[in-house]
Amino acid sequence: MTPTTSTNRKPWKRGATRVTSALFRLRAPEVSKWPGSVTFGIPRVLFPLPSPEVVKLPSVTPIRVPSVSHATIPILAEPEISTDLACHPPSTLELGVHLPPVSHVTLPLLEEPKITTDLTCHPPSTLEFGVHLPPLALEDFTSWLPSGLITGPDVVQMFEPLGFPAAIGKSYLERARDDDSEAYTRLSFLPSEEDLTEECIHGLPRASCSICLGEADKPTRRRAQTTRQKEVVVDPLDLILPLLQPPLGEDFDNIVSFPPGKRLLPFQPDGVRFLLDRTSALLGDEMGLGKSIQAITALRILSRIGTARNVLLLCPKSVVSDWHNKLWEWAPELRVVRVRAPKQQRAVLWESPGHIYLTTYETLREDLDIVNTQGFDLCLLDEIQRIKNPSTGVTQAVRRIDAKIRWGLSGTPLENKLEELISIFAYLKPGLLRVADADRSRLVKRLIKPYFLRRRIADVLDDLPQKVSHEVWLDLTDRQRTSYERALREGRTSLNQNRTVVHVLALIAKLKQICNLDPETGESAKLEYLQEQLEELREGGEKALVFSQYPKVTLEQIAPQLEEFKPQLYHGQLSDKQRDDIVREFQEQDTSKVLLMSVKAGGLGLTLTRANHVFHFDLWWNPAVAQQAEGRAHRIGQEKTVFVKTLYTVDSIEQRIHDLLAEKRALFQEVIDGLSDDDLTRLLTEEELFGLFDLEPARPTGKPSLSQKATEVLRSVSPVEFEELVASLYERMGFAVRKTQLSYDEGVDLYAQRSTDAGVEGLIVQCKHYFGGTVGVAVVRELYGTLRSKPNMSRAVLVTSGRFSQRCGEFARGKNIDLMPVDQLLGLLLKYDLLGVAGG
Amino acid sequence: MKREEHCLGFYSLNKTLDKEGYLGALLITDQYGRPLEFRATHSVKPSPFQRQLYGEALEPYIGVELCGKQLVKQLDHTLGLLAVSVSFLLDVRDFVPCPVVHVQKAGDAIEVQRRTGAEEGWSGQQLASPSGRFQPIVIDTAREYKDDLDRARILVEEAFTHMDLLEPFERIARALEMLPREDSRFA
Repeated sequence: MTPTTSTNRKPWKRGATRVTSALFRLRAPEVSKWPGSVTFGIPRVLFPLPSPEVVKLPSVTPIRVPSVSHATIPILAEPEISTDLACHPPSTLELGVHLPPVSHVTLPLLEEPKITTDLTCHPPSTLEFGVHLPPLALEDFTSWLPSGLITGPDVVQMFEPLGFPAAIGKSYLERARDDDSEAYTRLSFLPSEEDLTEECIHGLPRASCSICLGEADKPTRRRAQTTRQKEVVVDPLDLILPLLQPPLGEDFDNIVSFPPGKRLLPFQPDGVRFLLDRTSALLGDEMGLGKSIQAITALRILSRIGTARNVLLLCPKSVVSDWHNKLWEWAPELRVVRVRAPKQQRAVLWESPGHIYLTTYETLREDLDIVNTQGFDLCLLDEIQRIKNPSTGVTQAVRRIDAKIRWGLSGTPLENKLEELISIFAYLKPGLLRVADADRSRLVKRLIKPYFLRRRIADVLDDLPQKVSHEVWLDLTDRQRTSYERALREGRTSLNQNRTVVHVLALIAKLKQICNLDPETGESAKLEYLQEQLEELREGGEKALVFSQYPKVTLEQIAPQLEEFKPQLYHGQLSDKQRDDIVREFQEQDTSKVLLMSVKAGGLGLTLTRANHVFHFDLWWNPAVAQQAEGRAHRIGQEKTVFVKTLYTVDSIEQRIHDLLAEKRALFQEVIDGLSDDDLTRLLTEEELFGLFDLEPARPTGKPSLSQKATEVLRSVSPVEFEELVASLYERMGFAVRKTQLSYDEGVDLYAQRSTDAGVEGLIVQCKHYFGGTVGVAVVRELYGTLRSKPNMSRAVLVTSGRFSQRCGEFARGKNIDLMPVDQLLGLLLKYDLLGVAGG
Repeated sequence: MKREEHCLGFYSLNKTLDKEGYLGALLITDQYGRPLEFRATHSVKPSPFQRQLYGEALEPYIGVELCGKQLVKQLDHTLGLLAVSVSFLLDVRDFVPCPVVHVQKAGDAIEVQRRTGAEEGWSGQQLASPSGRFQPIVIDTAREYKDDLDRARILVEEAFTHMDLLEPFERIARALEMLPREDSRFA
């Protein structure tokens, strides 16, 4: 340090310089490889202690501190802690210290400077100094300064090392204990050579046959269907899963890139590339060539490279479930948000994290006020002819979606429908076509050519297998669902009283028929789908066979709805001549586009090769039966690929049996003679049959059955406990339940509410603990009155531990009142194990 | 062979979107490149003062001590081989029982050698994909674990038949671009 002062006077006596600051320069140390702390060499300095008179120093003066023996300086007050500290890179540290005026201070013998350790730095740029100074006396500050050491602060903390960051992660597959777990099977299946070459009983390579490989899909589909709307909080590590997937390969030939049994047909990679190369594209392959599969594959690729992080997929209502299943089968790593719910819930779903938002055109139109129209990277429109009319609300809604990439799919030959093309391309490629171009077909075709790919079956025949089979999963309509649930309840009640296989089979048949068609209104999800398919077929000049096990209850009912396709009905009641005439007309003329057939009626020799599309309207237990039916079209003389579609309904007896039978494929190796539902008894045990309805088979007398034990428990509860049981039951069934006060509340004991696809279902529930007794119609009338006074409630339920009189049933019918007698109640209580008798 | 022995790890140290911090990320795949597990650290953001004090040791310290060590400790899967994106991450070998290799494009490795001169003790090996589907690579191990190289080469060649061993690092980078949108602790 070399301060500037006057040496001709004693500074503390007169004209002393007031030291208000001192500046120290320190050299930063070199750092070792793994510094846990840094060592600074810093001199211990004593602050210059000003005398009562001011001792002047330059405000910023580099001071070099020499070693000294001793010095005396005026009294020093506690110095202030300077906060004006800065680190000047690269190698020096300047410290400014502001000191109050002091009188004098006496300093002890000055020591050698010590090296301070344990220095840490409080980011970003401040240093704290702790200063401890005893009272000191300094006579000659001026003479001291050049020769004195000033005790400096002990640096208590200069440096803070980097801390360990938190880490998160996820294991995407179950490990060793679940080597054959679904997820691992789905995502890790490696087909053997045998699987790729040998054919299964369905005539397809084993690795490609979705029926044979359906085991992996069984519970996962159910999970996808039932849990999709409850998931709102999503693990970010699931959202990045598509980005962590391996590439599909240049020719999509990476064998691990597709789920089990899923491979592109030879012509399909061209369609995928066509989509990938364009931000505007219309894929118009003929029906059956796998447009949706090609689109899904292209979506997977764009998801993996991060181009398509949010996709909006619009489709007709009838195929929402089918799309959902296809996405699950072909792109399991993509998270699908199915936006189908009451509007309030849809608002939550639109905000829910996901890769693909699947909904209908109508839902989008209704939700325009809550959808982020700018939030999608890609918009995929299935059956894009839905926006062929520019003035409809649906078209207007779609045009509000501002996605960078816009793809459309349509099996309808659009190339000759110029007005429709113009409207479609007004969204796909705005500005490409004008309304005035409607009568300039050559110009339009030339302009759209780069964006439109259509292949007919005849074009790719060599690449197609002889037969292509698909499962189509549909949602029951609202009315069908209502009828189905009622029939199921009543059926279970009946089974409780008549627990025989015959009654089980009868109930199964009844439920299957409802899955085909609602008995009261004729509504049919399968029919809606079939109509759309037949319309496309007709445009392409093709024909179809539709098979059902129920000619009277199903085929005769749907025939009038298909009038525009001139259906022919072929069944056992026809004479031989009538049958021959029908077959000849179907094979030789173009009038009739569809033949509705009962399989029982046809013989093995029947040739219907004019049709190359086969629809199984209801479920066959035995795939050999399905094969025989398909054999009418798929036989010698057939020049085209036969496309087979089997129609199922989700969350129904069809799904339960389908899943159960999937486990028993080995039994299907042998062709079973006879084509009735009795076949089912050869394939499923009695336990399995009754288990379809969560019941046990009737047991021989002697040992008390589960239901007998349950009855005893129910007999012993009090009315309050009975209400508690019923409340618990509805909670287990997914309802939010509120019990009313004990005082009279218009006869309502419980309010129950839950959200469904159809809306919010609100119930009022009355409990009558009349064990062994009978509830009369007056109770039901009263409840009906209460229901009518509560318009926000959907239905009323009357639950009893006894029975209902016949008049109760008659009165309740058609009034949104459900009656739950003791048998049905016991069945449900046992199912949800609310009586504590399981295992006994 | 046990399934675990086919598990491959890919570890990289990436910069945050604002370039001010670092993220460690570890992707575990099977021999075909299918993701089995993914782990990542929250961002480490050194202050300017810390950058000065750590100097050139900053990235190795963060990559090995702070991030790498705890990522490998949290793994559910047992690794057969761990590939790292830069050579200073080879020191994670101290914390894993399997071979650790630095993988780079053959062209890049040769270029570095040409520019910097042959590094003493560098024993990188060039490998071609047995299936011919991917560009050749060069692998190297930590100096203290040169014995790993032979064992690593066998495992690398087996995996290199089915997958490009540099491609998973691109996936990690894309995933780390997306994660901050969902969780700000990765920003």
